[in-house]
Amino acid sequence: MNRNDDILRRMLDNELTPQEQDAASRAIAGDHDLKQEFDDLAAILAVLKRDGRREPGQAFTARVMEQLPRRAPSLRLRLRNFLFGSRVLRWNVASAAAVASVLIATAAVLWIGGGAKPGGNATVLVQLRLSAPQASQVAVAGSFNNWRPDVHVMTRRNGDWIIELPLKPGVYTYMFVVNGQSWVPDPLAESYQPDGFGSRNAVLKVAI
Amino acid sequence: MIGSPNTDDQFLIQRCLDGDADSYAALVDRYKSMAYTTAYRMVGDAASADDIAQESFIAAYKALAKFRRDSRFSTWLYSIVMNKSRDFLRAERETVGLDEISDVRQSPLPSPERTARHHQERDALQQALDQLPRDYREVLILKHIEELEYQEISRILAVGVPALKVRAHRGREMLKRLLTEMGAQP
Repeated sequence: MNRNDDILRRMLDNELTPQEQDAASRAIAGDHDLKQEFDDLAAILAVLKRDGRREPGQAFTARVMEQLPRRAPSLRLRLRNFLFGSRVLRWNVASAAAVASVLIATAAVLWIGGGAKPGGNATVLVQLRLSAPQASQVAVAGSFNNWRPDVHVMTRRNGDWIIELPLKPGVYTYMFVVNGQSWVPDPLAESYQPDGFGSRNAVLKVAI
Repeated sequence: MIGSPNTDDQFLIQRCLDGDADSYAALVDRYKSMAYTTAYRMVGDAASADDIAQESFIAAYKALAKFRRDSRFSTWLYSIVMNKSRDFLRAERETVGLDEISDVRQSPLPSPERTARHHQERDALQQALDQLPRDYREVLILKHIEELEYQEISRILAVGVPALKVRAHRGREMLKRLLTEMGAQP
């Protein structure tokens, strides 16, 4: 590799210090052939960077997942899901107190002999979370909001995107919408079902 | 592609090892573009690249317990994709007819039939990449399409950094000449 080749290589690989880069730029500017060579190579690298990437089909992830061998969940995973599965149904003192109030009210109604049925409009606060540190916006769309990606925009918190939704008991399907265009199933969902388009929706079961 | 800090990958990998296969979907979503691009630029065919990328993710899942946690998942996955791509190219070369083998030995260029078959679906860049020696093509893909540092490329290809720099330089020169000959130089 001669000296000019070495200058070109180091310029294209961004290996020069600012001082060396100034000197190399002057050397290139003063040599017509060298400048032509540098410009041609820089243009090719720009093409590689601009046109080089390709995207697989939308159902790529689903196809991979279908082919994976199934492993039995470890005891640790089952225990963790049992103990910390509160992402789907999150209990806290306030919600426990609310349920207790409903039970007391029910007992009172029954005791008095009233006919109204309580709990028909009860909701549960459900927290959904997606780790997507480089996303600029994440929303959740699902059967609870008619699959509208503009209704429930999530809040960024330390690289995670979080939202709490008051939902009535039932079974819902949903996906995250990243940067307004990428529909991503919840990697932490308890189960999934096909969406009819080659991908799959996360399934959320809410119960009191 | 969603952001991919190494700690986040490690968390998902641990969940996979615990039997939570669905955590793997997040890793596939995160790295499917890089796996597919690398395979596509190596073999130059969309359907084959899709197969190679899928096989790479499945192989990585099966070998997840052997993955060394002190390295990056992406580096490991790149090396799997590269090996699968090499296997594919080797098998393709071994399954062509005897006449075609003699053509390949006489010239590094693809046979006329194969060139004609793929011409419609390949862009000029891919046609030029196809004609590069495999060693040069690998470095150019990782360095200038995937934009990796030489140190990481060295870990993926198990080749020293000085040798990679020479390959990149020669590969760029050859790519320029090929694109010029094709009348496709930018």
